[in-house]
Amino acid sequence: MRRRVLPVLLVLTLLVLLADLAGAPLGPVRGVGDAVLGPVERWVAPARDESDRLERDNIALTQEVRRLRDRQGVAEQLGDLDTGDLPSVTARVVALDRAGASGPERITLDVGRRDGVRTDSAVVAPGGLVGRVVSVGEWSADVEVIGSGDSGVGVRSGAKGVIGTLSGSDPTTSHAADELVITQLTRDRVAAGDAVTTLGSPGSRPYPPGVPVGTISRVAKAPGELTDTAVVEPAVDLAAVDVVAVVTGPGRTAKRAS
Amino acid sequence: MTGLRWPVRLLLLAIALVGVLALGARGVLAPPDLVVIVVVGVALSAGTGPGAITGLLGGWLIDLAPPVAVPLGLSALGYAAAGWVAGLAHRRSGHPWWWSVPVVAAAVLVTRAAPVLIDLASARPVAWGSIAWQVVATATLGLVLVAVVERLEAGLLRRRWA
Repeated sequence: MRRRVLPVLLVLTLLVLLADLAGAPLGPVRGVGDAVLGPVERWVAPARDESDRLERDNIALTQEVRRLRDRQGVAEQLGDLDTGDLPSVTARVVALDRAGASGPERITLDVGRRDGVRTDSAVVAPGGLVGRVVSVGEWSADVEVIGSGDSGVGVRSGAKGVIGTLSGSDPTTSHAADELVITQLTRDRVAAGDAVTTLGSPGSRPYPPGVPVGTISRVAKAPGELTDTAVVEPAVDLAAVDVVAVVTGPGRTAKRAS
Repeated sequence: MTGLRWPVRLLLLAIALVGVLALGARGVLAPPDLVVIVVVGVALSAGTGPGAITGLLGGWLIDLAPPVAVPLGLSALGYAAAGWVAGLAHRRSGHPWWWSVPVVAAAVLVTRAAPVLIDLASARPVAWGSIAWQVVATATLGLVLVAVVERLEAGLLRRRWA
């Protein structure tokens, strides 16, 4: 009996692993982790204090400024285009992913479905974009940080707004574990020091336009390639990210009728 | 599996997990792996089988703690392997005081092997610095804490509570 426990447990674990890799719906199993260990994480996280309130205000004001600037810029160019207001809820990071070898790929926030958070909501820190919500529990939400796994983010770089795709790594470019890369850039249109912002999606979901992502630190011009690849220093240091805003707004999918 | 041995091991794993979560919530990116320390303590006291089961249970706790791991179960298998490897260093006649340091270091490396291989295979950069720091920090803490776990296991046996 005793000797059989280990093989049985190992086989069960292997089955769960294979089922997860095959895309089986393991939501209930993940829900157990969220429901049982989520409250423990909220309990062991540091308590909110005055500096948190200031930081929260800082995020709200930064977002307000970004929204107003964005709206002003758009109004100057096209009178009939409106970015819309994006209501958000502030949250604290209560856990960082412990599995990834290239740094954190997922973080957990202390807000969940009860706070109005839905999957594919953008998560923004005072410095810029953190990532998007990929799974929501009652009390907590998991965020996939930009550049993790195979998630790509559409971005604009430099003053001209050159469009590219941001990811965590590129097989043809060597860079540090905490740096990001932009691929598919038109040749000779971006340079080191250029700011990188989100391109934005219809309905601002997952990402609203114009959120800072980082700064280009160098541009790799591989011989024989038709496009440039830029290495990006992220705007948000994941090691220090604490208070964030989750965009909960519904987002419009169509232009507002004037 | 009678007696207090397994409840105590589960309690130790839970305490280690709370410690890891508390360090993570305070922004420590690569905290010392307290769960591995418990697994090594059990493995050095009781051998490969109990070490692997303790590792499997500890790995499942780590997998299920939000953010829930993707893919689910990978850490559980890694920690089970670490428990098995640490159990190979089990000596009936006792071991020198420094014995736990290389065993803990090897166990941490075994738990990190699968994520590192996955990242290397998908051409993603690996944060070698933080892994090295985690190995050193865990092995240093293990020098003291593994002995505490072993004393606890021995105490349970001596009082016939195991």
